Amino acid sequence: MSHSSPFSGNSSFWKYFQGIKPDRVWVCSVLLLGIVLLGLLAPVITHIEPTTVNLLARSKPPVWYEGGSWYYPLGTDNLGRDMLSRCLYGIRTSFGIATLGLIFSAILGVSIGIIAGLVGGYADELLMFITDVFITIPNLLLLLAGIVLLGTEIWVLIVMIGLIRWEAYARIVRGQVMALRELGFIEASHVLGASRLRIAVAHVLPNLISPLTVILTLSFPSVLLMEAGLSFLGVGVQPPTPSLGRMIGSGRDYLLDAWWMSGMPSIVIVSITLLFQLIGDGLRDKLDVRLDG
Amino acid sequence: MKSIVELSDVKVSYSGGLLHRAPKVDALRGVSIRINRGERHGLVGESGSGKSTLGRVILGLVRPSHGSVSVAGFNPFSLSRSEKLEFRRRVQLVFQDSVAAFNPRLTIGKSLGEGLKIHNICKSSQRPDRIAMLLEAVGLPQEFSDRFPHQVSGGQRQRVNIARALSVEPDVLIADEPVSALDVSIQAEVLDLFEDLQQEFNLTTLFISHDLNVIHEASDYLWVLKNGEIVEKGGTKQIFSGPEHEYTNLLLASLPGQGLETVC
Amino acid sequence: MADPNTKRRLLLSARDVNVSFEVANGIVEAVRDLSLEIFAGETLALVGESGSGKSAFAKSILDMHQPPFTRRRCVIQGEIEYHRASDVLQLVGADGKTMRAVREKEIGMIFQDAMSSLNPVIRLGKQVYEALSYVPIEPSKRWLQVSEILNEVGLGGTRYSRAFPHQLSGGQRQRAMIAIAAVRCPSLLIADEPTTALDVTVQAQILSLLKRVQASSNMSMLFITHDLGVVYDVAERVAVMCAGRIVELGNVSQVFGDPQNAYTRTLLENRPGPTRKRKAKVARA
Repeated sequence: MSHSSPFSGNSSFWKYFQGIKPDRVWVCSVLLLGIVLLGLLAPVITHIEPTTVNLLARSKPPVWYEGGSWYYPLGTDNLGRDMLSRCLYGIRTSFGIATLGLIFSAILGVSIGIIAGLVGGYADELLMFITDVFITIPNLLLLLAGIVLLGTEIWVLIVMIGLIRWEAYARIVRGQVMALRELGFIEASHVLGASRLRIAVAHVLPNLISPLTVILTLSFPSVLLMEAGLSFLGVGVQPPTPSLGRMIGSGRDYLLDAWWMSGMPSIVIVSITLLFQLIGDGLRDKLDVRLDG
Repeated sequence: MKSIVELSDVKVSYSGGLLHRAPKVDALRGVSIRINRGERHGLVGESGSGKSTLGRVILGLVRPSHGSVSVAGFNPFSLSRSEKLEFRRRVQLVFQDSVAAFNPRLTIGKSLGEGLKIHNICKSSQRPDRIAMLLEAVGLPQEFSDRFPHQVSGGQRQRVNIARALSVEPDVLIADEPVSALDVSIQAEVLDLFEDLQQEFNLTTLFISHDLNVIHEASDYLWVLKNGEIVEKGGTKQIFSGPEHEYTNLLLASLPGQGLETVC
Repeated sequence: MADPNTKRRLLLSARDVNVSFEVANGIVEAVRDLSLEIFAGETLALVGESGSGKSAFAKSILDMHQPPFTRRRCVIQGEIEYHRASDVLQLVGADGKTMRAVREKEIGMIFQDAMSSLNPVIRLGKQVYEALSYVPIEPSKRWLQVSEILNEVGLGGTRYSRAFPHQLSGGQRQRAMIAIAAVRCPSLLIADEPTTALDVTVQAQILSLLKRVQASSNMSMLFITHDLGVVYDVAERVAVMCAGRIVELGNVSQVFGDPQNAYTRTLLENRPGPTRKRKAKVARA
């Protein structure tokens, strides 16, 4: 019996649009990758060192202003250092610290979350108690205390950022593991004789990848902003190493005369943050992850 | 005949954790059960009767607060490391919910291979053959090995579920509501398969269900559980033809469609 | 065999109903060319296995395939006519006002999952009372009617009327749903697997309650189930559904006693229990 589908009228129309609709996650990922590449290829793109001071060319405006030149496309700062070069190297610094800090906190948080969720009982209650205690300590206080005690080395920043972020991951992962544990296949594996380590590695971890991807993507911007904030306050990355936060901070006195000193790194940070947020949101819809820990 | 599962005066009560004081719930209040090797037993009860808890005690997943448990010659709650592995191999479980019973990220073949790997049942090179054999035993083609759990139907998944339990060549098989989630026509297929495999592998089975009609097909001996206590035990056919306890009577009287047989 | 056509008033008639859903990779035709009639005071059972389209049809009667009930795009074609005493309403493509009037006064519905159908933060008595809010009766008589219907379903007394849904057992919640549906005295009650989640002893109680409520109010019932035993207990007529189509329709004793369709026979033969004949052992290579 030939039975024409009630959707046939517009289904091809729909498919056409779904076919060419550019996927938000992909577009944003490509743009983000571009920014990361700019940072990585900084020595190739610009031949001016970010720390080279040129007192004859102080506070030069970007190329599209009167008095700007192609030699300094984004202008220079108050010491005559190339803004383009500083922004590109700044991406390297900020991105690197944020990524390493995030990885450190993810490893810490995920391990603790899995142990708490899988072992349960007293171990769970103890670990969650420690997590709760960490949550109550103000982030900035912890950061400043760490920096005062250990100095302003970059690895200190990475470790401190890691120590601040892990509790959120531990909580969410524990929640996910508890939910997974209720599913039959974890019990089936246990009944088959699998050890706890095997269950954790073969069954729990792979099923955490989707939610973890979303969580980490969504929290990357706040880690990046944390580094920027610390550098802005002057306790983060120390000069002359270029960092996006530090550049915004040192440019704030010249906002009226040379907005580009703060403006250019701000644009970079906002772009990175926005792209990450859009990717994270898109991934959450795509992977259908519910984030309730 | 020697008993392979023996529970005497088993009590289980659930309570809250260290910081959360919840009222104590008695799931089992002194249950004694004896199952001989090769027999087909059924355990019937309504929700909250403790029937799943009883199965989990036998599997060593729930520790009783009182009483003794002996399964396949082991006490599941005091096992050495090597004994634990051996116990896990000899006592297996078939689940109710066939969707959640499989890791969604593993192919069916990988899921079936897990037990073979853990217990070194065969060389890793022989594993694919072994998995094909297992699939064949439950009436599924070899190609299923490459499919993911969500790509097969409920009845097929339940067959794989049974194959996974059989993969480690157990002596005792606990089946906790294995057909409750299936359509009637598929229920019948899985029940038939169950019976075949029970004979073929010389299994001792405990079939847990709320459905008296299903239990009738899958067991020769029946235990009726109510509020954590065994209220009636005996041959399944005897109990169906002449229940002694009033609760069993009520269960049988409540079955829908009494008299449908006379019409058919 | 008495022909219901000549004796009873026609209440609902469906003609060539098709229900399709748009899914990720195409279109699912859940109901195909379904035609049936429900007469006043009778119980028609719609029986089939999962995916047979029995629920999809029931929901299309009350237009429950539209937002806010679902986000999936759905197309219903055909005619579903509801016969009131004075006029006939076409339910397919009816406007919101008509559908509301039908849901409020004419057709009630109960579901398998009573817990999620009840509001968890409102006491039971109030929920039954609110079900009456559109019925034009004196407010003073409303509470009387509420306590009457709660008495009838076995939830009499303040102990139940002041209880929150989570304080009730599964069977009591289903009783509450029946009270909420029946208090408006609908002409047709659609019961979508109302006893599937219940224990067998509770199921027997709920079935006899439904029959009692139906008899006292001369309500018709469209009873959706997968259980042939339940069909035999509650229904006079049965429609067997398979893959979106009705494959057999007739009196229960007729259909079960002398099934004409192969699928109906399979369903009957495969009922687990003492009478099922085991098929020959599957030959294995």
